[in-house]
Amino acid sequence: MPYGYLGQNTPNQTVSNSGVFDISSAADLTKQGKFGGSLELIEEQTVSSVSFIDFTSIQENKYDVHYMTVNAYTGSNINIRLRFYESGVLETANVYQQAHQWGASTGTFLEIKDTGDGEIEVANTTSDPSSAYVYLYNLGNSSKYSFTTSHSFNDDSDDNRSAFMFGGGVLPQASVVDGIRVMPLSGTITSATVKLYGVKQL
Amino acid sequence: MSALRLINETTTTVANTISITDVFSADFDIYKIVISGLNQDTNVANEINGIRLINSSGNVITASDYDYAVLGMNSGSSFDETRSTSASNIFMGQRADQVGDGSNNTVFYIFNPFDSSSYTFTLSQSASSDSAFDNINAKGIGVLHQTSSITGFQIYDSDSARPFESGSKIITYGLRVDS
Repeated sequence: MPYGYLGQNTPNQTVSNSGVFDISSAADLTKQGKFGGSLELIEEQTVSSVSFIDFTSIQENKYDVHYMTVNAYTGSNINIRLRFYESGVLETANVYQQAHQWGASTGTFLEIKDTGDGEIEVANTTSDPSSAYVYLYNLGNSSKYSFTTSHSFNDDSDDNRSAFMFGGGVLPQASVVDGIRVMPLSGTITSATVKLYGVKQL
Repeated sequence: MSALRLINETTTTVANTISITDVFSADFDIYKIVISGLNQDTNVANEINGIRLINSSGNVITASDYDYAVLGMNSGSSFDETRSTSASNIFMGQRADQVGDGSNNTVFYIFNPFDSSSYTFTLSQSASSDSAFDNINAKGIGVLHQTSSITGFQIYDSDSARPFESGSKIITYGLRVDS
């Protein structure tokens, strides 16, 4: 049976069609990567009063690229930082590298960089909620390093400014990363919603 | 169903150019391209030239009609700015090396490529490392100031002694907007 959309205002499609999706058509299109969206939710966590947020089932064998969103992240010292688990063991040594551009609406711009840190930063602030997105690359590839790119924003009312930070980091070890820890610089995460997606591939 | 629609997945072979053709059409105005684990085939710390666009005739546009601006963020040294208003490619601040010494990983967006009445714009963010520079990240913009219909793109390095490695993935997605 030919497959397609029903209803009004049907969008343009790369495959001409008519009718409805039957089971075999849906399976065939899924195999081609043409059925369904391309951001596949792996796990969502909404937390309150925790020291860190761990994602330990990240399907690193299935995805070359992961995508994480951090929303309304609040706490006492609410830098957003990441650490990686390698074969179930959290890497806590000062081996992460990173470089970010930080800027504030007050006109201050800073280079944030390190070739030997204990975490990868995503947001650098001390108060008010932060939000961010992070791409994570090659986590499941034992021959390649694991990288991040990120962009964050927060409204810092204590200092009467808004601030952004963008950049990235790397764990320069050819290893399998099978878990991600989201954590503050110190103290407690009062509340946050963090979602981890896999970016679809065939 | 999310708004991100997978269009093409290309696995690289050993070559200086990686051409992704016939991926842009009237179906989408905005495309997202994800590059993961791009390596060099040889032991070399290499700066990648960047991308060039492919028009609807299948020709790679090499005219000096590209502009770009890139902020390079170096983990071990000062940040730098790279820019041009008459380039033959869009530089995105990417670096790579052989497997085990680092790679390039990039997400970039292309705006209005198929529209023959509009310029084609890019927005990129990448993370790289190699044996010369440790972690170096980049955020950039670019434009082809031609009103051409663009249907594909090419990632390339001009040094024939520095081909890309096989097995890296470049995936193209369209951003669906249903009215």
